[in-house]
Formats: sequence, C-alpha cells, structure tokens
Amino acid sequence: MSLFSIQGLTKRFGSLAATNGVSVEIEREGILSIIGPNGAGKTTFFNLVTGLLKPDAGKIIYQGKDITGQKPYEIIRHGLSRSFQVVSLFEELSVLDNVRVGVQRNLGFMNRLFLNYRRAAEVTERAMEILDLIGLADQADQPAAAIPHGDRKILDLGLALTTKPQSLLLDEPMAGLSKAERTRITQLIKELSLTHKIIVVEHDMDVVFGISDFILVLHHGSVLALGEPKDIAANEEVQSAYLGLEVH
Amino acid sequence: MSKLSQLHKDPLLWIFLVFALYPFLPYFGNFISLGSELLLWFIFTLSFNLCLGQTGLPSFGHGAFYGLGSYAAAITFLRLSDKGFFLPVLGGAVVGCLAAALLGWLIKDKRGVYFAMLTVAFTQVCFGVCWRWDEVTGGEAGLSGIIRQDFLGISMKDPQNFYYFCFVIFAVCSLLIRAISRSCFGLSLQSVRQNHLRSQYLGYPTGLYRFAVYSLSGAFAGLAGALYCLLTQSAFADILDWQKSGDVVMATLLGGGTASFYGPILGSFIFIVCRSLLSSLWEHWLFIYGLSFVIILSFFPTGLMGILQKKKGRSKSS
Repeated sequence: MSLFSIQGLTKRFGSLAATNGVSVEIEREGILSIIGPNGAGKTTFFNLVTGLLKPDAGKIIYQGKDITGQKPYEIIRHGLSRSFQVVSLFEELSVLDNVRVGVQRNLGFMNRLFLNYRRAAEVTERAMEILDLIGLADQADQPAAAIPHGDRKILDLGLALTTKPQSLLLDEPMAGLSKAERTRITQLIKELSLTHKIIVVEHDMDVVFGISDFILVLHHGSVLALGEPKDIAANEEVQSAYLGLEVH
Repeated sequence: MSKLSQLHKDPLLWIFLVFALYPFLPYFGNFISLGSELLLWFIFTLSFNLCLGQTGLPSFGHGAFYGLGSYAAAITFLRLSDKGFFLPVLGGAVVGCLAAALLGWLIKDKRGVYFAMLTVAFTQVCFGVCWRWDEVTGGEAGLSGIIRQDFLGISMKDPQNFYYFCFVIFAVCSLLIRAISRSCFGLSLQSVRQNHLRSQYLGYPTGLYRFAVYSLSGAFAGLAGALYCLLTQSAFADILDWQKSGDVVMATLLGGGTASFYGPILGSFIFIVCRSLLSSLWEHWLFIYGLSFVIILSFFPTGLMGILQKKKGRSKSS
C-alpha cells in the first residue's frame, strides 16, 4: 500500500483548473519534492492534500483512509502535519509557548481548566525537546514576532513537529532565507527524513536535487513526471516545461 | 514560601483590599450601591473579556446574557413559592449560560464583523421579546417587587451586607476567570485568537473552543445580571438595549482588556464612576468620556493597561 494514493484530484478557480485530474501514488520512504514552473499548481495541490482547500473532484487516500474534504484538525489526527510558506505562528506568544500550544494538544492537556499552562511539566519538557531538536532552545523566551526570519521559518517547522506526525509536508521551507540558513534547514530536513516521510514544495533547484529521493513535476495542473532526480534532470519534457516550450 | 512573598505583587490582592474596605472609604463609602454595581460590572466585563481579549470573539451584544440573567433572577424569585436568595442568583447564571450556548452554537464559525453583528442582533431580539411579552417579563413595566431574602441568616436587605455578598462573588469569579485565562485551556483559547488556522493545524477544533468559551462567559455575565436584579430589586428591558452592550465594549477596550487581565476592571471602574458621579455635575459627561475614548484608543490601541505595560517594559529595559 502506498502512503498517499491521489485519484483524479481537481480544483478549479473560475475557468482555471489549477489542479486538473492529478492521479499519483506516493511511496512511504524518503523525501519527495514537488516542483514545476510558476503557475503549475504546486501550491494548490499541496493545499488540497493538506485540507486547506476542498477539491471539486477526486480523492485523497492516506494510508488506506479517505481524507478527502476533512478539516485540518481531522487530517492531522492521521499523522499528517504541514508547515507554511508564509510563516504561521502565534505572534504574541514566546517561542516556547508557541510550541507548547501544539504539545499540550498532543499530550491531551489542552482542556485543563485550572492547570497553569506554564506548570504543565510534561508539556514544557516535550516542548523544550523540540526546541533543542530545531536549535531554538536559547531563544525560548523571546516573543515569536521578535526573532529573525530564518528562526521563524524553523519555528514554523517546529510547530508542525508538535503533533508527532509520520508525514511532514513542507511548503517552501527555504523561501526568503539566506544561504547559511538554507544549509541549516536542509540539514534539519535530512535529519527529520530518517524518522518522517517528507513531502516538500520548493523552488530552490539545488536544494531539490540535493535532498530528494523522488521528484514530482507538475505542469498546467497535471502530473508531468515522477521519478528519481537523475531521471527528472534528463527528462526532455521537464526541461522544455521549464523553458516554456510545448512538447508534442 | 517564595510564592507567599510574591503575593503583595498581585494586583488582584490590592483590588480585593480596596473593595473590602470600600464601605469605609471617605466619600465613596456613602455610595454603597455604587460599590455593588462596580463589583458586578467587574464580573460582567471580565466575562466579556474572556471572549474578546482571550479568544478574539467580538461579542458586541454581550448585554443579552446580562439582561437575560437579570430577568431569570426576577422570574425565578417571583414564580417560585420558596422565595430563596441564592436560587435566583443561580438561575441567572444558568440562563446566561444556556442563552450563550444557543447563540454560540449557531455562530461559532462566523468571523469578525459577522460574529459581532449577529450578537448585536441577538440582543435586539431579546430586547424585543422582553419588551412585549407582558405575561412573563412584565413588558414595558418590567418586573418589580423582588425582595432580597436572608441568606445564611444574614439580612441581605441591608445594602452593606449585600455589598459584601457581591464582593465575595466577585472575588471568586475574578480568581476563577484569571485561573482559566492562565490555564492550558486559556492557552488553547489564545491560540484560537492569535492564529485560527494554525491552531486547527495543531489539532484544535477552533469552533468548539469558541462555543465553549462563549457559554462559559455567558454564565458569568448572567450571574452579574442576576446580582444587578437583586441590587435594583427589579428587572427592566432597557438593560437589554444594544447601547448597554456597547458600554461594556467601550469600558473593556478603554481599560485595556486586550493587553491585560486587569483592563476590564480598570475600564469599568472609570465608566461607572464617571456615569454616576460626573453625570450629576454635567449632563453632557458622555461627550468627555467618548472623546477621551477616541483619543486614547487612537494613540494606544491596547488601552490604559497597554500604556502602563509599555511604561513598565521601558523602565525594565533601561
């Protein structure tokens, strides 16, 4: 059984089919990158799979379960988690409290009416573990709004980890980062890929070809190619799609 | 031990101290029912801020639960053969909670201005019903003849005893609401306010949280309304007027409910004292109040507590 089985997934915005009957099987292992020229429908596809958008047609089967049209908080129960291209944090909370929000939900503390959230030792401990893992432990008490963009991007990824997912879907994790920061996140993604299935939408081709085990190429809302990086690099259709030529 | 030695830094303790001594304060001590009204307004605005400041719910018709609580207390008293003291108070809280739960369930997924307008509309509906339904609510004449019965052998007819009853209820409610706002549940609510979508992606069914906090808040507002009924020994439809709901919003924002737990207390203190004392000096006092509201909120969107906190932060960093 494949991890994701996507069947005839379609989403239209007016007359534009941003995702047009995409059917694809995604295997359990390794890092999968989704690429494609601008307007290829990467983001729409990603948002459909993670429940942010509802498809007009088609099915999303995750580990044998139909998750089509489920709400985000239902989808994450199946072990799926996502990060955001435009960082999505709790801006007024500290870095640590941001992570606490996710951890207390995961550990079942979220409805405790009279337990001061700072005194939930189990939550704090697990939250600090995550901060250690992503390297933000020394900024735990800073407000999320006050830390540098690269760290915010990492915190966004850290939040995705709080739900203890098996699959991590990362939406342009490198967007707007410096070279040093890119190296840092690439390293982190590689580490995480040892324990998580990773699906990533990314523009940076050096990163994509550096880390991916498989690459899915979308073009005009449809699947153009799926294969290992070396095959994708050699694929003529993919090359011409990026150059804007039509292949017949 | 360290916790005990920190106790004097707790603003609530100082507020408790001031209001424990209120009947003996010079000048203010002469206005004992003003003191009671202050206390129940504190409960009311704190309950409102559980929605606005904590969860980001613009419940601009929050007066509905206060008003319904007031009617519930009056009707409980008038219709029940055993005219107790505590039952009407409880009745107000229960009815406030149920009404808020009903409305909350219907509008839990509405956002921003739609949510706000629907709560205002609900208040107007409640006003209309109470204004017309003569058999139950007394219509335009309202309900009167409510007498404060003895409670635990203490005569509640005595304004000072009733004041202290309100004080105890306020103390309990404020401690409860503060504990909730700092709890794990409170953090969940904050996440809903600050980033609704991310909260969902961390596993929070945000609509259910909005519903839960709305019902909870309605209970406190209904309780405050019930106390108001006992204070005035009557219930009238005019407290269901949407303008009264606006007073709560203004007081909470002016005090700085979005910046601090204590904002609503400060704001309602200013509002009630201005309304009761300034109005006797100058009938156009609302002009001054409204003008200062506009000026303060334009320059300091987080209200008076926001200004205080900024000052504190500055003196700490320097």
